[in-house]
Amino acid sequence: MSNGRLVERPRSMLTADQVPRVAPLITELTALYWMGGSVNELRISRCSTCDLYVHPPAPVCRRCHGLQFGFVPVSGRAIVASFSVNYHHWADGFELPYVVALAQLDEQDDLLLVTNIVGCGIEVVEIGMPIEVEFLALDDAWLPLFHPREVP
Amino acid sequence: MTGLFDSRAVITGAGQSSLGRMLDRPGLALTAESCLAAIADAGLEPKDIDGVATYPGAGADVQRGMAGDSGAGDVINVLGLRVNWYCGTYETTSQLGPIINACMAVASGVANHVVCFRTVTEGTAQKGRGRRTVIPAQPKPGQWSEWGLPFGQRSPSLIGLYAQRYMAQYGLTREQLAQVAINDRRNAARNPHAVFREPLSLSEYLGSRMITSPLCLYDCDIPMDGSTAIIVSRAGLIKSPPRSPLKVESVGCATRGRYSFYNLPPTRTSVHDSGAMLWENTRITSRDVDVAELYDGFSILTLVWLEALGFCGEGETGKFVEGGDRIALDGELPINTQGGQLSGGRLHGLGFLHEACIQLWGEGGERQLKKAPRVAVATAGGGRFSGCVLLSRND
Repeated sequence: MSNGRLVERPRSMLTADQVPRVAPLITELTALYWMGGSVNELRISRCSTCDLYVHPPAPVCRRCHGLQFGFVPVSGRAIVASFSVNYHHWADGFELPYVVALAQLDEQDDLLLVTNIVGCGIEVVEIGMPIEVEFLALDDAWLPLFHPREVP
Repeated sequence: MTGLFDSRAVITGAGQSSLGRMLDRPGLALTAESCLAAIADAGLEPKDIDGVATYPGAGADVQRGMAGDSGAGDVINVLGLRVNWYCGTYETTSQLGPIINACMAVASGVANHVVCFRTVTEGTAQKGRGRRTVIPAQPKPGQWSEWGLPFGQRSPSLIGLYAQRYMAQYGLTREQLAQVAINDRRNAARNPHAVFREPLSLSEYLGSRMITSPLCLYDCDIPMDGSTAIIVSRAGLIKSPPRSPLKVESVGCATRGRYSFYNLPPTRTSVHDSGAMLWENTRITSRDVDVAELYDGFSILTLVWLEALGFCGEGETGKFVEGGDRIALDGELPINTQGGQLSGGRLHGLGFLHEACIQLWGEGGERQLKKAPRVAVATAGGGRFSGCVLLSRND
């Protein structure tokens, strides 16, 4: 669906099929997560009171109700908690098929990031597979993507 | 034990508008149709209605086709109702939230007769071009889509993630999962209002287009247009009711986690919490249930509801539905007798409760259960929010 006038519409009026790849929302709460890739760091919000990693970032810690957080760099290592290979053409900016996954970070069992598994064929992806982070620049953000990691 | 609402909340009528894939009519027109039908079905007149409840409420076109033109206020206005209590909201305990709210309203005395409705115009809104043409490009902060959209993750992939893990954890096979869709289609053949009525074979299912693994085309529901309305009344108000009042024995509802589908098996989800809650305030058990209308926005959700409601043990759903006999119309526990949302069409919320009422009233026509059901469960939702209702016929 192409129409020269589409590019003049504000982003907020477009539907998902009209945008190649939706860039993340950079807000006060989320900026440090999305910008970590600019220095090749995966940064996760951590409660300053009880050390719980809280993702997505929140203004209050769900465990101790603390109000102070810091964004700390983590190892970037994770495993595939689950995945789904998407075959449906939702938007133009993705080459089909692609893998949507939940990366379970090594640092905490319930620390799950939505991501894509890249750098390998879809047939090798499996639950429990060790992965590590890389970053894809998109608008002002750096998307954490994950590729398979060799484990000795 | 008289049940959660002290036997005070009953369903006295139900109705639907015209139903179809692309009716090209305003949602409010469909809503008026279903509400008037339900009111008449209960032997009432519009002047008897003093409460209105709906999901998702006015202006809530989060994606087009959600009938944001049909808020509680809109219906009160166009039908000329005189209403004290009403609620129309997107944030509620699943699409059955309005029913749960209405039960509380009548049981407490705040209202006498509440019309609850849910309207969709998704078929017309998508015009056959798919859901991606109605989802906004820019997520609002705090919506779960904020975290998924940059990675090309839409709701189907969210549920695909869950299903993939369920298969790995419990050994569920595609052949077993297929029984939800196949059973739905078999029942839809007997439902004149269902969208898809041709039989679906296992080989057709297995050979079909994969949407997001392990969910194929037939694991995803069908957008359509239609409105469903249910009348919730306080028991004993209608003298000589034309319908046997169906007692709302209990309800279950829950929310778990900010993004509930990220509670992967074997972790419990909101569905498990809702299911457990349903049995807490009633003497009725899962063994007494004659028919179960279990939300199937995606096929895997029906399986989660099966185990969450205790019809089988956790992880045992594959064996429960294997071959399809147990869940068929003449089986031990008939499921989705109208064809569900996979074949009946995505009425998104009240369709399952409507069908439960139809079965209890013996109005199912060709798909009516021969065994004259007395106890039914209906559910809605299956991710961050979920809800279920337990009904009994007592005459």
